[in-house]
Amino acid sequence: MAEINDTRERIISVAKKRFHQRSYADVGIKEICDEASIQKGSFYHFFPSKRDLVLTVIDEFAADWADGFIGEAFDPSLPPMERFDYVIDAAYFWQKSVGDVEGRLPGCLFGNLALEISTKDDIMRAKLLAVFKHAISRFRDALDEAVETGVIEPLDSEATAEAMMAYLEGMILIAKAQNDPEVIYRLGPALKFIRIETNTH
Amino acid sequence: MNTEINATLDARGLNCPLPILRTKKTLAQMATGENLELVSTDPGSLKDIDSFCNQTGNVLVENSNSDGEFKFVIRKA
Repeated sequence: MAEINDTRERIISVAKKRFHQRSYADVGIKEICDEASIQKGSFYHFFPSKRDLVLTVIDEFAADWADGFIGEAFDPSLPPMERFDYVIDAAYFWQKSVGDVEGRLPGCLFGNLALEISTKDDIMRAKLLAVFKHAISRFRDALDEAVETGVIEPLDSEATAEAMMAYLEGMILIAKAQNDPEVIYRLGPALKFIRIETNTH
Repeated sequence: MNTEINATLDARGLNCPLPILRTKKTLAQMATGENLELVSTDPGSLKDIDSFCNQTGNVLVENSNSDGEFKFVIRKA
């Protein structure tokens, strides 16, 4: 049983890394099998297709992201607006750390996949959208708490949270295009000052 | 010279960026001049902690590596 789980985990781990570094389309089953040191038959035992694999990768990465990166930043013991500084630190150090090892910034896996497949696969698109929505809801909760405690003026917290996510993803995209994590360090502090007022749209 | 340790943080088993986030949180509760000892197993820790200290002004007082464990002492600025 342990070995079976290990094989499945090895496939997922290789796929997660490769899809993130390159793209879904560019990475084939053969490459994943070679790198995970498994036979193609074993691959198909766990995943009927590459698409089934990427759906699992999205689920697992989303869980890691929600518990790790987002969970850690949106720690309820932190003052609500400070949580956004932690989001930026997480994005910056994560991109920088992978960039230092691989020589290239990977960008955001969810953002990369959303750009790649949104016109082609509605199921995958919906899954990715759910990941963004989950993070947006954490942003919104922090904003609502900041309003309730008088730290910031009342605002449209749902729209602001969505705008913040758009800024975060856009900033990571520009950092990837420049292959320079310092873009996140430079632009990141502005994230927590984004405001969309109530009734302005 | 023995460095006095005022707080410790066990970040073993955590991958980037979690050790940095926990370090930042722990330092936020410490006083200027106090020392935090951090233990991590993430191979990227040294570079990460080094750049974190450069950017935040905190001082990396000591760092060592043995058996896949990285130990750091950071003095809060």
